[in-house]
Amino acid sequence: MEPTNRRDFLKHASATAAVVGVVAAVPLSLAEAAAADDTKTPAVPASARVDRHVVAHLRDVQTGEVAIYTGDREITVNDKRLAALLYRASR
Amino acid sequence: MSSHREAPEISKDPVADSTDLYAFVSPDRSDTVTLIANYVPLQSPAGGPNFYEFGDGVLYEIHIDNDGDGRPDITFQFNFTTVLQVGGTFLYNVGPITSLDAPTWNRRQFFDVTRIDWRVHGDGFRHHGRAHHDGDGFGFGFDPKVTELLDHASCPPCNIGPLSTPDYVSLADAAIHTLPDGGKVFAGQRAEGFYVDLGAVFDLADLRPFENLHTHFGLNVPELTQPAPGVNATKAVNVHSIALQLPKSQLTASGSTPTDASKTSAVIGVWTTASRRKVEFSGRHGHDHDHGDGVGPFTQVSRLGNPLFNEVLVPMERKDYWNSEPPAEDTQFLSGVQHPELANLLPVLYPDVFPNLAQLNASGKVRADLVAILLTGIPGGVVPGFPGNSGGSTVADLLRLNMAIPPTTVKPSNIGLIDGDAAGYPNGRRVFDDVFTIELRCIAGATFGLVDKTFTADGAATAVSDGLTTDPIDQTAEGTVKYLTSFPYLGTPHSGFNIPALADAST
Repeated sequence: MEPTNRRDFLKHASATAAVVGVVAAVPLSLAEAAAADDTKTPAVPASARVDRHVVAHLRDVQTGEVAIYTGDREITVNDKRLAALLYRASR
Repeated sequence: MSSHREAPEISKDPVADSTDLYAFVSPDRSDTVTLIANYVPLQSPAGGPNFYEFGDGVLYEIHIDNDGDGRPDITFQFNFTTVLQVGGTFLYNVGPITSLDAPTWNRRQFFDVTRIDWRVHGDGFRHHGRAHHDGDGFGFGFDPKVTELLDHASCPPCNIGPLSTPDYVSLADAAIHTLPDGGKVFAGQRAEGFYVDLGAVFDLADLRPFENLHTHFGLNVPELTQPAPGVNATKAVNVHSIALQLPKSQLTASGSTPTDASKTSAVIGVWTTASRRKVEFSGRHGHDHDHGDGVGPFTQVSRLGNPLFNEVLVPMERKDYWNSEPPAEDTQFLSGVQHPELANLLPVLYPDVFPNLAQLNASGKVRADLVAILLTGIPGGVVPGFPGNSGGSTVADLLRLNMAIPPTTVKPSNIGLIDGDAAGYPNGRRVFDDVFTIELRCIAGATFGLVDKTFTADGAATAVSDGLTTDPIDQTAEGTVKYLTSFPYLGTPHSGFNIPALADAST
């Protein structure tokens, strides 16, 4: 059996999830991100509904690290624009 | 206590607080092993109208390591759902509860049982989470074998009194459910089976039978000048048990029934955990649909292998962290076992009673006896006549059971292995084992001579106890409800009507 432990596994899992959820890295400063055009809403199907809880945890506004919790999952994304929007909304 | 309220944070979350774990070859069905994980400590039986129950938002698990690496090979998950079926009343029940489907029973609880085999594809990964949720699956590129063993099974009510639960034994019997392939499961209230003199022990390690020998810190306390019998602090409380009885073959790596006690393949390591969602909601969420009280993966908040491990051997500032860690990471807690604080305290608190222990402490020698008992298992040959219960050298707090050792059915000793009863703690743990006394004696040096032939234990080390049993075959510690001779072995819970009104808690 391949030696592993839960901590390493969770790191592995988080990394995997992050790759899936990452938005193309945009090297914006916080100020730049906040000033970015936030009217460009990502496309969402007209039929989309929030049918489960979705919680965002802003971990680092400078790096754009945001944890998204939904269902059983914790998805780490690195999105400076999203982080800036969350930061701004929380102020 | 064994593990009741043993860490600051988990003491504030009783439904997730594991209190005791038992693992033993069933005395009446020796081809099976019984596993019992207790939660929700120190229940006052009359505590209505909101009587005790499991937590709907808590993931309860019993884990089995069957290859000695300290990691789970099999996990049994238990998920609970609470239903109000009367409504419009403040009462738990609006009439006698005469059956598990009685329409008079307002607040009922149901549970599911899931088995996870982690090594199906041999990829080595193990994921900690609830199986089958929201259709997400595991989503991490591997696929353990997940088997739903039981769906929507009923828990019994709490034992309220002669009007509400007039035939409690029948209700509890009806809540013993059959599992596929010959197993049984029960989840519900039981009488507390663990006994300990908490009032004295936590009063600066007073042991009433020996309190005249205690230093008393120079205080003049007349009532402590004579030996006194112990007082069972848990004699009148209930607990909630998750009990499994499974054929041994369902717990081994090979799928066969172990018969050779000298083989490490006969050994399983057992522990229980409780986990909560990383994100939990309180109050109204603003959603129309109920998708539970939280989101995200489960994070472990409680665990238990050996009794008293976290309680006695881990410093307070690390206890909740210990609860969050897997056993395979227990090397970080090794020093607390190698040099236990309590071993240093005993010669100080009881001057001249433990001179050899004091010398051992001063020598700085590692307590290899305790490391084996609690963290690695006892190798064969260390205890005369005992084939061992070490599945490997991994340092992990597991309750280790050599399943090929038959149960002791005639005069079993509540002092277990150190009294020559190989079917008792620390080879697994039976409901009547006096684990407080066993571990106290071990820490006091009673077992160090097994690993260091130059050491002679103090006479007190093999005699010290909290005074709740009269002899090694006594299973009637003050007020302890009589244990059952068959599954689920822990006694009928105390009735709220009787406790605390009656002085005799054993009724």
